Amino acid sequence: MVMGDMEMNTDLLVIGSGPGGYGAAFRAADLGLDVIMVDPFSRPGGNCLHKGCIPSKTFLHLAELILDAQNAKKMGISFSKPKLDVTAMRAWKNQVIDSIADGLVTLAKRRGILIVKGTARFESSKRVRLSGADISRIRFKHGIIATGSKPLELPGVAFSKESRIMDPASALSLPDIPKSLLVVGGGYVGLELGSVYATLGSQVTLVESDARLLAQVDADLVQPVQQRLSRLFADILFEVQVDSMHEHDTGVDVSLKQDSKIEQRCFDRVLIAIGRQPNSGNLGLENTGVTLNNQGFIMINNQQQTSDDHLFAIGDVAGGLMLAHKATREGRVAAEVIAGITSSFDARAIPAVVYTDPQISWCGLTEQQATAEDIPYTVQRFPWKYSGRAQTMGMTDGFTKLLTDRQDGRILGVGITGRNAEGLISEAALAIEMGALAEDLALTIHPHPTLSETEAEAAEIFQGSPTHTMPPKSST
Amino acid sequence: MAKMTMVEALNLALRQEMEKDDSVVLLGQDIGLDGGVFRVTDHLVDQFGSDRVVDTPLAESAIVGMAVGMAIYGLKPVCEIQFSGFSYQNFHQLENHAARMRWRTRGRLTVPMVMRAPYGGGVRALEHHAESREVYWAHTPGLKMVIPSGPRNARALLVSAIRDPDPVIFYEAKALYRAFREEVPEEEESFPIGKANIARKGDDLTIISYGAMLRPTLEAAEELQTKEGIEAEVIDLLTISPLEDSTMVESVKKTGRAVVVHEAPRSFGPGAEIVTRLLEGAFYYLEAPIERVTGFDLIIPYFSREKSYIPSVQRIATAARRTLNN
Amino acid sequence: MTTSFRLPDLGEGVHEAEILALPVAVGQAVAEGELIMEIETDKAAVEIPSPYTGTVSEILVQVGDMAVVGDVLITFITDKTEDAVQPVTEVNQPTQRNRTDTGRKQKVIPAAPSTRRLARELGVELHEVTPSGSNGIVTKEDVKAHAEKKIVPEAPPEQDVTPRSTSTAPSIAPLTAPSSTGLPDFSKWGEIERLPFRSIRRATANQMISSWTHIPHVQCQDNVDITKLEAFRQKHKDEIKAAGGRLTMTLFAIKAVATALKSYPYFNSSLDLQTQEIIIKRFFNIGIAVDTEHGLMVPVIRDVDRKSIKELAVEVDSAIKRVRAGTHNREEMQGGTFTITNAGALGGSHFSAIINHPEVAILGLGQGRMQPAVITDERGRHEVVPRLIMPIILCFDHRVVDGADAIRFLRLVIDALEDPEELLITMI
Repeated sequence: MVMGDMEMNTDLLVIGSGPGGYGAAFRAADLGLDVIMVDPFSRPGGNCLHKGCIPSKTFLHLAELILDAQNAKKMGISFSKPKLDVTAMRAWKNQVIDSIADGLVTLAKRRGILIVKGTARFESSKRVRLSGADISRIRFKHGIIATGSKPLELPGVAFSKESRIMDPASALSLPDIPKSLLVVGGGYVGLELGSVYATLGSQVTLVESDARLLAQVDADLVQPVQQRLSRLFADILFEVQVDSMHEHDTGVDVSLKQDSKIEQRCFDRVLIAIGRQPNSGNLGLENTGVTLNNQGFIMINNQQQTSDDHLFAIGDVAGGLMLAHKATREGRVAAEVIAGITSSFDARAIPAVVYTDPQISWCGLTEQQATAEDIPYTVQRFPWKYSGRAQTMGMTDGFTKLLTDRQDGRILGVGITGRNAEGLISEAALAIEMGALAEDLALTIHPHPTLSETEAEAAEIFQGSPTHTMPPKSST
Repeated sequence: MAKMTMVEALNLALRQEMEKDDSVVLLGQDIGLDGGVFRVTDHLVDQFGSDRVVDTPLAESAIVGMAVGMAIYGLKPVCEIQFSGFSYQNFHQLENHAARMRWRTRGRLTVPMVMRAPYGGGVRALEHHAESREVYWAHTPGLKMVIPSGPRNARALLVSAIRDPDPVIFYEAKALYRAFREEVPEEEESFPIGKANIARKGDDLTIISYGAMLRPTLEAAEELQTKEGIEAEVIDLLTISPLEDSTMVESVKKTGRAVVVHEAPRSFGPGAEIVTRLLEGAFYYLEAPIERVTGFDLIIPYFSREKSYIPSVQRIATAARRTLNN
Repeated sequence: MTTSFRLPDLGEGVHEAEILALPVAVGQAVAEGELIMEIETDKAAVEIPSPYTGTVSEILVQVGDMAVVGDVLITFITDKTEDAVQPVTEVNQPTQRNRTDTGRKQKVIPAAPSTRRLARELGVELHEVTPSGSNGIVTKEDVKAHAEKKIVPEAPPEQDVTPRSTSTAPSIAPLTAPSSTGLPDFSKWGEIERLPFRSIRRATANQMISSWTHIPHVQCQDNVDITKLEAFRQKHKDEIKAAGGRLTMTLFAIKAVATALKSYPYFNSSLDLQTQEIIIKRFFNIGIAVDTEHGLMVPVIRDVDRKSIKELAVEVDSAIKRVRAGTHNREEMQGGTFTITNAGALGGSHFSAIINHPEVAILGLGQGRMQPAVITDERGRHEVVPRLIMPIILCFDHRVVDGADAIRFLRLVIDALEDPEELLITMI
């Protein structure tokens, strides 16, 4: 029993301890500020660590293993069908999470950051009230709102923990391997989690309301993935809407609508992965000067400042690309601005990765964007069937493409489909940030045999004389 | 160095002293299993056992009486009275025994005990949970009265109090318990009892304060500097009794003006003694009458009305300006 | 919704203004068109009406502040619906940012992240920097070099010599010190007081630098015997006063100068170095230097050749009064072709003058004082008599006119002033 209203004072209050929040807190502490971080989870990491990126990549790694074992047969090594121990898989995933989370706790402690488990609500621009915590109020000089986002629900269908209708977090808790799984949503979450379950043995049906998968990714990059997933999944249906969904003891009845035709299906489980919405309600923002846009995202400028002088916002709750690394960088910018440094979010190439097999990664300008905004460019594609390394792995269904300025060859964007595309995209991001030309990329020696060579070769195509493929007909 | 709140700093002091000296024992209500209502004695019973961390019945006179007895027998008890407002029940034990034992026995029996209690308002607590009666103990010869103002000096002064051969009343401002965090060294550190600290240097006037009032005093000094370029010297008493007056007197000789700030009621409060010492030591150096910014001669009111009672930054700054306009 | 009111572009290259008055308060309801602010730019005070109907939410400036064009001065709460409408997106797609899109809309200047950080810290705009490398990448060295270049004061550009702009004061750019010398710390020798150097004082300083650095000044000095003219003035001054004006030496000088300008048009011109031409003006607008408590102001009297002395007397007097009260407007400070400065009223006698660039000459008058003078009669006999003598000085631009013409010009003026009848006959 603690009598009375305990209040704490601090320089910087960070609400939310995900990649954005802890990125900001650590930077701020390094710059000498007194920091308190509040989150309903007792350990930092947010959605990404506890029920998002980390668990999903842990399972996707396992899915890749299973796939590679299957593919080894034609290469001379046969594996028998793997025995899946779901309990052990869950335990492994939790171990991974614990290791990272404990590391973050240590880092926070050593930096003198106070972590408070609880939920915060603004009473004014400089004070929050906490619930579920030892302290009742915190007064601060500056605040960073990093409350992230939560999954969108299908209208009329609420998520609940024991339900057969799962949100991505529930799917990642791996309750079981359903015989049949309906995935609603053809974005990266649906594809990644669908791939995991399909590889583990579920019959996966994916429905997408658009005409293709991954609508915001260039179609050519998506095509190899769509081809592969069409074989892995039981079915991929386009231009389909969910008309109604009803859960019962043994499954979920779903009415799917396509072209005003309605089909009734039944699945063991359903995964809803139709996007995310910002966690900007229930924060008491009406007691501050913070303004939201029509979709509920907090409005900010390049310094991450909101319309309230004392408050900053970063990560998913501030809109833009909902990626952890974007949130972390924004968090650092906010911390620096608060500490008095002239910082700004001026990234020119934010990379993104889809962890299907093959993977897709891209950064900078996409062909879709270039067309929409009338930006002139040329594109060079290097197919992986000409990559020695890809051949050694038997993974030639990929390609690397380079978007460059027609005149001076400045690299505007890169897109890669193929195994380990995740590891190749950072070179492209660096090139774009530095203002490199295709010539610079082509003249940088890449080791052989590697997948990264494909990037240099794509640049050499622009220069006019690539090594492992024929020069283009019309010289550039 | 690690950043910690006053609660954590006090816990550190108790733990280290208990590790160093077996004769240090703790007693009080809810201090063992519960870790203390403010968590000051958190986890100490796990480390030292219930023989050295004693959960007592609800009987303040017994708590202090036992402490006196333990002390006479050679232990170093640190007893906790859950709220300073409950200590009237143990007044007799302190006044008639703890304070007089050395004098009564001509030095054969001494009482090296510490009585800790949370005092003061600012957390919107109930009646008896918000008073500031340090003056009762300051006026009792034979007792020492110590009031820290932050995590670091709380830890360092508690260490000195525990090591002191005579009874020390140690008041902890509950409004400060978690209010802010400060770097506190892991290695042993102690500050001497009976020494005031100059918290802020300045030449234009002297403001004397202690406990929870130090922070609003420093804020007022900041405001005076930013708005009017007035440089106030702020003295943190740390020990109320024995009152070390040389620091404050030297300061007022330099500045010629003084303001005293405490949350205890005005009349016959600690401020009265401080003002008199300043008159005794620096009368001819004074340029203006000395101002006292204090609580009112009332029981401290409930809840948010506390704000009108407890000296605020505005009241302190206004009093400071009055001394300068003279 | 909250809308911001920014300091609008004041034209004529002026980019900052001093806040003179703020007759509104936070929370006050304001209708569109109501006066919300008074600002002062170089030499004119301007009233600002409210562009919105709403309630004043925040006032971000105080009286006495210098605001830069584009600064947010006041914010209002209006009933306008939110301006930043986001495009409706599919739930899968990332939503449009509210921040300035650095990527695609404007040309992206290639520069490494560390270079961009340096540019931010030094306050350098990347698109202004000349990249040194051949592939167009702006390097850290380029940014540093640009930042250092900005500190050296640029020579004020040749003024666009269209009639409207001849008397415009240049934008009150802050004067910069020569980069080599810094000032000593004067306070070590005694008490000092620091006053802001801005507004009219600064505008005057800029104009003086401009004139002095561009124009090779030559001064012609002489004395004028105004005994007769003064008698004439005394005779007619009450009549003029009744008409609402003041009859002063300046008025006669205006008329004499107008006459002389017609005969010597080069003195009524401007030099255009860009086109290598001398622009002769066929109109005659004379600026009158006025000493006011805000500083030196030069209201312009237009078409002096078309107005009688009586009309001019009224107009000049009212211009002087307006300028001293600060109720003049920008237009009446512009368009001058020649300037007259009369130090006589203050008691000054001989002095040198600075030409009001881009004019070609300026006439200065001193105080008329009784002096011994020599008059020679028809028979060559000399007599020393007391006469009222007024010093006069013509200062001219030797690029456009030569000394001989200057002397002839001045002679014309002097002759007219010495003999009121002569003035009457010749003046226009």
